Amino acid sequence: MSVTTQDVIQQKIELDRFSFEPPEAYERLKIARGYYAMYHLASDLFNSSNKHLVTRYDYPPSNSKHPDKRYTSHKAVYMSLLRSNNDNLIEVGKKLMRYHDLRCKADYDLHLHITEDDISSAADCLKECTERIDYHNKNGNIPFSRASKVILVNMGKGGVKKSHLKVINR
Amino acid sequence: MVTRQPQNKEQILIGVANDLIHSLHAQKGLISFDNTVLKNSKRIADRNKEGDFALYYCVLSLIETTKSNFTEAKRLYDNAMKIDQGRMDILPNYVSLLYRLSELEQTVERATEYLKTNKSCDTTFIKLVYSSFFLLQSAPLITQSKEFIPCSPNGKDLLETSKELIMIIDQIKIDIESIDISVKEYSEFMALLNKFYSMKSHAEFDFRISIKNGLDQYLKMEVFIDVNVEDIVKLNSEFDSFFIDYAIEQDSLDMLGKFLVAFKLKNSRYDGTENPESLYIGVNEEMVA
Repeated sequence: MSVTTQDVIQQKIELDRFSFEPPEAYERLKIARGYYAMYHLASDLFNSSNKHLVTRYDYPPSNSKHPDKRYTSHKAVYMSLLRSNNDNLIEVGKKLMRYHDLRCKADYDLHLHITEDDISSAADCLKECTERIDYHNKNGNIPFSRASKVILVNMGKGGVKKSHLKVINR
Repeated sequence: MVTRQPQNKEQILIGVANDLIHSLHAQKGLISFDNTVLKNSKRIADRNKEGDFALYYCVLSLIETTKSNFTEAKRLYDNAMKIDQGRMDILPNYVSLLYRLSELEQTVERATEYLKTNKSCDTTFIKLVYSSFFLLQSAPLITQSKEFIPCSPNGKDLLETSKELIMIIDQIKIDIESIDISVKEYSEFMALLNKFYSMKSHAEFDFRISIKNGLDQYLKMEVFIDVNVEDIVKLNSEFDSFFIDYAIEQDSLDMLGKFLVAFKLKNSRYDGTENPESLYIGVNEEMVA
């Protein structure tokens, strides 16, 4: 039976409810599962069924040194967000890049300690990615805000500013 | 009984300047200042400016530096230099200011000028060392490392750091090139990070660089700072936003994927990394997914 992104997120939530010994193995697992939950949540942004579809880039920009060097699957997700021209999603891309770095340490660098700041940074990445991706799915390109209403200002004909109140979907 | 001699206006200004410099150097962690103390320093300086006008502007500049108003601090310092261009005694503060503003080439130039007259000034030498490293220029380091005469344990450590950097600069150039980062991009990024850090802390930079050249390719800069873990999370978040704003302004979003900064607690440096004190721990070529 297959699982959905929501199942993977739920898996991480359930994981947070218990613990096991040694604590560092538990923390490594939480970082890894948290990262993968966010990786799948972000990947859904490129799914054609997404109401606010985001362009996926599998290759570096044409003006880069090696434009034909394909991104890896993880890099393609965070680089596509970093190149999205959407401030909110660029923030998600940067968090996801940081989270991936922590996930690699948690899964591969067994000789290194998972430090207090690694654990806190991972928790912050999870919180920010969840909130910002959810915001994008509900509000599209409306600039990210934690307020319930925002005033959108557009430049109309002849440089006249037009503004209107927009209620943010939560 | 010994009676204390009254100080003249120049001596009073020197005292105020020294107190401000001492307070800047003593700060660890994030920037904090007591506005009442700064207002008092300004009041004393105003009353005694006739003692030495150049020094008076230097004091005002130090007050603004303490508050992280570096642009205003530079304007005030320029006033001091206009009054007396030959004043070498206040040049180290100017070098520190240029460094905080990330005007790295100017920092190297003015630091070199000052170190010709004072070959043991730790605070100026460290600015030259780090600026040269951020510019990936080994020539000023090679010259000044031969000239520098350490007079303190800190100075000796600094000289060792300088020698270590001379050894690794060429290797870093090769290694960043292998992941498509040019020297220009590296210096641009380091100047940006230094500018951000200077707004957050008066303490010296404590860092470690590594290069990921596996399936992911980027330069990772760990910055170790004496704060609590909540501040670390906040700093990482604030730097990401700062970097993003810069990349959008420069129309260079691709740059965001080439560098990763991790502000970390001081003791996280000893996380099991081999040679934890090294400034550059090399290339990690592990092919991980």
